[in-house]
Amino acid sequence: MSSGLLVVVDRVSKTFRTHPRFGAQAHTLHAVRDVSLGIERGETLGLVGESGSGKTTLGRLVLGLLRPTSGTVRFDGQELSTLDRRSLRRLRRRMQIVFQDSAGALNPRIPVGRAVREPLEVHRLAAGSAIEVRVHGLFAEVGLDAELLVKYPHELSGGQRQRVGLARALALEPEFVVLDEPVSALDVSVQAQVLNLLADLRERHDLTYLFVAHDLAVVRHLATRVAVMYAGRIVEHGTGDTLFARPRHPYTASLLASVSVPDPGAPRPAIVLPPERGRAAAGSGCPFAPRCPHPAKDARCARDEPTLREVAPREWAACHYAERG
Amino acid sequence: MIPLLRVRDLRATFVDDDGTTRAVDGVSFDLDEGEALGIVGESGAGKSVLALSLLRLIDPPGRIAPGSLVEYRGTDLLQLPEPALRRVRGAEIAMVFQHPGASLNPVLRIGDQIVETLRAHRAVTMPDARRQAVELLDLVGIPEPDRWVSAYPHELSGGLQQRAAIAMALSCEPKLLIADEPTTALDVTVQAQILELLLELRQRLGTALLLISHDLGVVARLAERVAVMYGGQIVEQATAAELFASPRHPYTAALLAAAPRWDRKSERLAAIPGAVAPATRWPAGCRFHPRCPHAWERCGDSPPLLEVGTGHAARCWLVAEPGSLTP
Repeated sequence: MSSGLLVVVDRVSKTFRTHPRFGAQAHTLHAVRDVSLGIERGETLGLVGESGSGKTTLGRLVLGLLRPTSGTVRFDGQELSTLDRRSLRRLRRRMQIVFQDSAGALNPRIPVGRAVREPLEVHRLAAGSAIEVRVHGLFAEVGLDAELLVKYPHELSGGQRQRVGLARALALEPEFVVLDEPVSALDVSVQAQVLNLLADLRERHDLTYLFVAHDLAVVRHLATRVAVMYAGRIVEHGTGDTLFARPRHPYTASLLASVSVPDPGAPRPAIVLPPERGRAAAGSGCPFAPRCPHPAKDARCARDEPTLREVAPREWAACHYAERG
Repeated sequence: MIPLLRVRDLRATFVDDDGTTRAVDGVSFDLDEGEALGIVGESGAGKSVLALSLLRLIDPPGRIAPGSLVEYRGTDLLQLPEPALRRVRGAEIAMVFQHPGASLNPVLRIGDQIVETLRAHRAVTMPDARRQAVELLDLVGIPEPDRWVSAYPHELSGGLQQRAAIAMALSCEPKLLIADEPTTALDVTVQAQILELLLELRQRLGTALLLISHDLGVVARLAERVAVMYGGQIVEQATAAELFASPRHPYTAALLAAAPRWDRKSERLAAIPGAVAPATRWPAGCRFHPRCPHAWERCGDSPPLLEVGTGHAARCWLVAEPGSLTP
C-alpha cells in the first residue's frame, strides 16, 4: 500500500441560500465552515456529528458532488473544481459513495443484478460474458447469493440491499469510498455483518474510507482517525484511540457521555447538555459556548471563536481551554 | 398485590394475501405499579404491535385473537366497550411514540393540545388548564414554557417536540406510560436529555413505564426488568442487571455481542448469521434456531419459557440441560 494523502480538503466552506417562502426571510446557511483535513491512503477517517453538523455536506464536497463556496478539494493531487467534465468523470470512477438508504439509492424497477452491472457498462469496463462473470463475482464478494441477481430491491432485506449498494460501489474498483451512515438503518445483528464486511473489503482492496456517521460506537469500531463536527466546523480531530479515551473538546466529551451503553451498572452521564436554543450567529465566539459545560468557560468564549489547533501530538481541538480538560 | 398490568397469551395477527402474520404470538408478562419494564428486540420482533395491542390501537386487518388477556387493575381492556376504553387511554395509560409528530397535531398550538387532553378527562376550568399546560411544559424542561405554550409543533426542535409529547402524555397523571422508541429519532445528546427526563419524571411521579426499544443501551439505562422479543415471542426475561450480565438465551447473548461499543475497541464483531424470517413463515420449533450457533435436534420443537432462576426465564431447550450453555 502506498502512503501519502489521497484527499486534501483545504479551508472549504459551503453556504446555502434558503428560499424566502411562507413570509420567512431568505437567509444564508453556513453548512460547512472553513474545514481543512487530509485523508491518507488506506486509512478510515470517521466523521462524527449530530444532525445539522455539516458532516453529510462535507462528504458530498469531498466527492465533488457539491462545489465549495470557497476553498479547495484535491483528490490524488488534482483539484476537483478545475477539472472539466470528462476528467471529473474519469476521476469519479476512483471514488464512490454508499448511502444510508440503499432502498432510495437503487431504482425500484430494475433487478439488483442489473443495478450492479450498470456502472460496468457505462464505464465500458467489461463486455459480453465477462460482465456476467464480474457481476457474479461482485455478488459473491459482498456475500450475496447469485439467485438474488434477478430480485427487485423491495424483495431484499435491508442488509441485503446495503450489500447490493456496496457491490455497485465496488464495481468500478474505486480507491476511495464515502460511506454515509451505511449501517444506521440496520438492526444490530445485521449491522455487525455489514461492518465486518466493510472491514474485509477495506483489507482486500486497500480501500480508503470516509465514514460519516452519528453513531460513535460504530465509528469507534471502524475508524482509525476521527473528526468531530459541530455547527459546520471540525471541533476535534485525532486518532480513534486517543479521542475516545481522552476527548479534548467539551462537545466531544458531552457526545461520549450521552451514549447509553448496554450495561445497567454504567454510571449515569456526567454531562447532559441543555436543550439547544438555536445556532449562534457565525463569527460571534465559539458556536458551542451557549451549551458548553466546560468549567473554564468565560467571556473569551463568547467573544473569540477558537480555531482548530494541535493541543497535544496528533490531537487537534477548537477550544480555548482544551488543555484544561 | 395484583400487578398494574397483567398480560396473558396476547396474540395479534394480520391477514393479507401473503397469509397470516403472527406479529405477536402468545406474549405474557406482568408490570407492577411504578415499575419500568423494557421490551427489547429488532425489527419484526413484534414489539410495536405489542404496544399498540395493549390499548387496542391496531387497525384492521390486524386483530387480537380471542383468548388474549390485557388486564389493567383487574379490568380486561380487550373486553371493555370503546367509550370506557377511551377513558383509560390518555388518563390511565398514555403513550409516547418515536416521532413526536404522531402525538402532536400540527395545526394546533402546543398549549391548546394539552388543554384539550386535560379537559377531555378532567373537570378543569379553562384558565386552570392553561396554567397546568405551562407547568407541564416546565416539568419536562422546555425553556421559557409560557412562550412555547402558544407555539405550533413545527416551531420546536425534535427534542423539544418530544418533550412536549411527553408533557401531553403526562398531563392526566397516568399510572402507566408506554414509550415506543421514544429517543430513536433524536440526536445522541438530545437522547441523553430525554432519557434523563424520563428517569427523573418516574422518580417524581411514580409512573410505571413500558419502554419499547431496539437500543440495548437505552433499555439498560431506564428499565428495571427486561423482556427480549424475537419472532413475536418473549424469548428471555429477567431483571436488567441479570439479563445484561448473564444472558441465558443464545439470541440475547448474540445481540449483546453483536453491538459495537464506543468505550471499548473490538477487532471483529460477532455478527448473527442470516436474517429474521418473515412473520408469515416462522420456522417450526424455536424461531431463532436457524440462526443459532447452539442449535441441536431438540430445537425442532417449540421450547416454552423455562425458569432459570428467580424472575429469570429463557425460551431455550439448552437451559434445561444440566451443565449446558453459558453463552
